Amino acid sequence: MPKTKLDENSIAFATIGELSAALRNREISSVELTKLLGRRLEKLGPEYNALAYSLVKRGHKAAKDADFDLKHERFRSPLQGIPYAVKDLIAVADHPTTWGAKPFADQVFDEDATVVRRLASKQAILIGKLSMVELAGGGGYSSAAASLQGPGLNPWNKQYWSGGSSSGSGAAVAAGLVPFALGSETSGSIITPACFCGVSGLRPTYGLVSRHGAMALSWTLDKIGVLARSAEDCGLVLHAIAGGDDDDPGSAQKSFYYAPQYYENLSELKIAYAEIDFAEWPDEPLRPAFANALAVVKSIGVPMLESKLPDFPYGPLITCIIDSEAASIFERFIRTGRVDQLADQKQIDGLKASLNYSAVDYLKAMRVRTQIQAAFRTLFASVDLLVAPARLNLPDRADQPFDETPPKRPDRKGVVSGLVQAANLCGLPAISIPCGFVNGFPIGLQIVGRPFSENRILALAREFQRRTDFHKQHPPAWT
Amino acid sequence: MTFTRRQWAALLGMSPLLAQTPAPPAPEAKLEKANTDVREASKRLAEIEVPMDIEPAFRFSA
Repeated sequence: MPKTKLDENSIAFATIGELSAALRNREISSVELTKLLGRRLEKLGPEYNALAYSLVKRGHKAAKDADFDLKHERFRSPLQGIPYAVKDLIAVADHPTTWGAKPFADQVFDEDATVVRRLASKQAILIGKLSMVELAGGGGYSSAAASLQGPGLNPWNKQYWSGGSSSGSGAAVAAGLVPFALGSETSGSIITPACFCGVSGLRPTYGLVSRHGAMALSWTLDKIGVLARSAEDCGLVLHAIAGGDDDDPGSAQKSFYYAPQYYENLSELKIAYAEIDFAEWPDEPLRPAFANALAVVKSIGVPMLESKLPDFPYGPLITCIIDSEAASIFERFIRTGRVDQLADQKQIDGLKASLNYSAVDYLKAMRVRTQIQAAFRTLFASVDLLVAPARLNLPDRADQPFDETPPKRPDRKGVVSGLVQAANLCGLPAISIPCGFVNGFPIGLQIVGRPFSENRILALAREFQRRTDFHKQHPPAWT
Repeated sequence: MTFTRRQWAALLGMSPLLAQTPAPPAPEAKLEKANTDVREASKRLAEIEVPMDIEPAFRFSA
């Protein structure tokens, strides 16, 4: 076996492209890489409450197979031989899948989720399950502690939350424990931890990635996506996991080919944004950094148009839809009282109360959703992408209840207000990329596009990352 | 003779500020708050006017 020439720090924070090149050039083997990252995941994962379950031993065998193929120059994909981990709502056969919740701590499925099978076919090496907010936050929750592993801690400052509900996925990538992780989003669960942890987080179009084998919270909203070191890496992983699946009734039966070369001419695109989103909507300390981020976007030379979102009550609508579908999915769990074993009282009460939505409420919300989708089709007739801050605030403390005091925001709305909910209601793809630092915490820029326009989103994100190095910065390395 | 909360606090050596700290809501109150939130959301949804020919969004593609 060739001697490792790379040091631990550079490996821990390397991109998929860099690791793939190192594997093919025999600078490191997949077994060595799996050992090194596996050791970090098992040692450092618990320090961030990010590790739900280690699969490092299982990974060693897969790494040996990958090394065999690499040695014989049977190159399968850029992910070949590269370790990764998944949010603990994605099933891995014969190992616990807890959904982050104590009542499901002993749950074991006998089949891998489709995304796990797809990554195995590319010889990516699964080395762990990552912590999450219990039941992906269905019913609402009051603090970071709403998780089987305890509060997700932010690698940039362990006193603060890593975001949710894909808490461990964000923290594990940020801390250099895995180069990429899978997460899921119903409304904000990829964008938020990606933003708070300073990694790139891609939420694909609804139906592009199979959810077969993943916990359902809301059939019409759930998506599986990627958290990684760069937009480029998100594209490479999406390429591997996307595609039709008859086992997922929500599947769009579409493939995704990562083709950055087709979107090089960004000047032909039109970006919608609102100055007010960057200058007045964020908490005050974040505004200068967001102003800089907007200046970088403008410097790319893409035509930019002032815009605003169609006016709908996105928050109550998406809450009604998530709660109604979750109430149906977890009905037995709620009615039998097992729900009382959850960690977060607000979540317990929220799930119980969600049984009280009527069919008329749900269908009304879904009919308004039709109107929202029509309004977004009209908006996207004249623009290609929406750009806004990913989050308007820094993370809450991990050891205290969330501050639920409504923050003071301007009366006038631009794009950012309700964007996460609106885009999820319409099934739109989005990415959050690091775009600055405030008080030692990363902040994120959100790019949203039409359904199935992931290549276009990634093209702009990649250009932003070509001009900045926020995505290359990482918390102090732990060895 | 009746005592105010402030007087009780003084008698017991507690700071008046502490005496004014409201007790955390009982578990039933929290559930009732969640139920109230659902009722309010229902009311808000009822206020939205949707033309009769708009069907629910059952497809989410482009």
